[in-house]
Amino acid sequence: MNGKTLALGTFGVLVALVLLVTFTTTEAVTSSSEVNISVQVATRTMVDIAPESITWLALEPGSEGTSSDVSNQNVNRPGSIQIENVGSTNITKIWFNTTYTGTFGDPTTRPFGTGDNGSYDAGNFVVLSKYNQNDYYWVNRVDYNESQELVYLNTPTDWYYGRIRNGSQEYFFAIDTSGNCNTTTIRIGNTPHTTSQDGTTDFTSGNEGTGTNQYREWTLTAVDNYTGVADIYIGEAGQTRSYCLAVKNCNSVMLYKWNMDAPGASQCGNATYFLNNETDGELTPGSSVIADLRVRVPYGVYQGYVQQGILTVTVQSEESS
Amino acid sequence: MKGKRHLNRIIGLSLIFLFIFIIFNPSDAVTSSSQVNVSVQVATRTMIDVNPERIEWIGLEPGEEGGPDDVSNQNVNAPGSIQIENTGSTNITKIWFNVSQPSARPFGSGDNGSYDAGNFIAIAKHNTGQYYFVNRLDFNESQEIVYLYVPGPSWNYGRIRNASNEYFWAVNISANPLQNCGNMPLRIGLRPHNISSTGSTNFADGLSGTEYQEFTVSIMNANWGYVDMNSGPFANYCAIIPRPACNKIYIYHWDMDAPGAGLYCFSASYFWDNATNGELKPGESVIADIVVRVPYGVYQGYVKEGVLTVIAQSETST
Repeated sequence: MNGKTLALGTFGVLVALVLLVTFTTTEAVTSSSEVNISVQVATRTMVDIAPESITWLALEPGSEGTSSDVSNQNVNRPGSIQIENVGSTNITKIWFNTTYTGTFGDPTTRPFGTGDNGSYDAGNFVVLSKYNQNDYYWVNRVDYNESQELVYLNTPTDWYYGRIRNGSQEYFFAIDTSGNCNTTTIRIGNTPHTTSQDGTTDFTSGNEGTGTNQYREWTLTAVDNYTGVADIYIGEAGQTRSYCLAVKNCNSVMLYKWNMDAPGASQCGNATYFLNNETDGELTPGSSVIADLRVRVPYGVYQGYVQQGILTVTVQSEESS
Repeated sequence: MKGKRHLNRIIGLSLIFLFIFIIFNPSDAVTSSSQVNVSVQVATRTMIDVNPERIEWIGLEPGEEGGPDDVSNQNVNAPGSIQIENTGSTNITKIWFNVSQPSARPFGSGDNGSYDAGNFIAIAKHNTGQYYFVNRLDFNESQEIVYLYVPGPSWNYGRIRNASNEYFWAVNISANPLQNCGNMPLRIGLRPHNISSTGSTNFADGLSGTEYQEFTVSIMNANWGYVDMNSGPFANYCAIIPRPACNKIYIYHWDMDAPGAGLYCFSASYFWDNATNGELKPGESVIADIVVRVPYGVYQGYVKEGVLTVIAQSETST
């Protein structure tokens, strides 16, 4: 009887051992702990412009270079630039300026007639529109008075004259030099001169008006001792474009829309910011805005690559440091 | 009677001698001992202690990598590093991380609370200098990028923002429409975009190896496509893309909880792996060096505090 009990007990231990071995498994056990990560970003106003360069190829004199003329077609929108807020503040204003040939106020630096394509500056060809609006304006176009008499023009005695070269369209202007150049009078033809038409060429008193082949007259407001500015409209009735026009030394004109650093921009209502928080809202960090670019090549530009121009994008935030 | 008196004298003298002996003879310590057996059974516990509890980087520029010098508390031996100590009773076999991430595209929100500092974290093994994102999430672009080229409108694109270096990516969502963002090409630019360089932006066909690195997004399951990136600028990362939306990309290295980690994608890695590092025994610790990579376009001030979670695993019988 005692021996039987011992045998059963031994068997029971063996069974328990087998069950223990059978049902005990190795399990992965995990434990976790957390670390809080805090990052403070500095106050910085920064902007990224891409692409770095745009090349328009084989443009005819007097033509407008569009997206299809851009050499690099391997972008989603040839001829456009992306202005991205890569800083940490909200951008409130964006504007531009472009390089131009010569020295504003010194007509001896005019490129026409030099026979040197390096004398021209591609920056002076740039017009710009808000994204997809197809509404292009000059950033700042600089032109000088004529170096040579134009026989088909009729201007009052001792008035300087020249032309604002808008691609194939050239608008003649005439400036009264009898008084102070910063507050003088300028007359601008409504009808452009092209290869097929003379345009407005009569700048004598009595031809003022808004019609074809007439001119509009503007009086400058002084910016400094040499420079004046006027809010102007250019073009024939129904087709006018609003600009600011700065005139220096009665011999140079700067037509501008997007350049808020240009002479007299603060006095001229027709200049405008490309992005203005008052109308467009603020450009928040990580957001971008697109500008569409074209180039308007005047007549009389020497063949080949003209001097590379620079379009500068300036941004402002009200939280700059 | 005389004998009895003599006996008493002898007894008296004996007592006096005994007294003197007791008084003047120094006593020796007499010890006796018995033993008590103390037995302690330590429970089987997998525990870790991670310190410090919080790390703060301050004054970082947009596009900057915040290193040890930018950590606010310099009164530690290694600012920006964490010590992961085995405070449990089991040998730890694996350690990995995961991080908090933004719930939606933060760029353009104008709100620093939309960004998550956890999404900026890159970690290296101590003193190796080889930092990898734990798990970086980036969304596709919300606006057209004019200077980028993708072969058609069916391509989604965005950028992996690695501090000042932004690598564009593009996926062809119509390459295999029946498979909802699976078995399709993923192209990642080879050169980064930054404020001084446009980088690789041409994703036209046939430019793999010169402009971009091309991968095929394999189907993991109904929710995810994946790429094991063993080459290109993000070699040693796993990339996963949600199906069927195809509208964001995760690249992860240290997050072994991420979809596909170790099952489909083998570029992800444990921070500590007993197979190569041995086991982390109770009382031992390991150090992780941390940097934060702040993208361009992050709103100033404190972004939303992120959370780095350290997970340890032991293989212990229960």
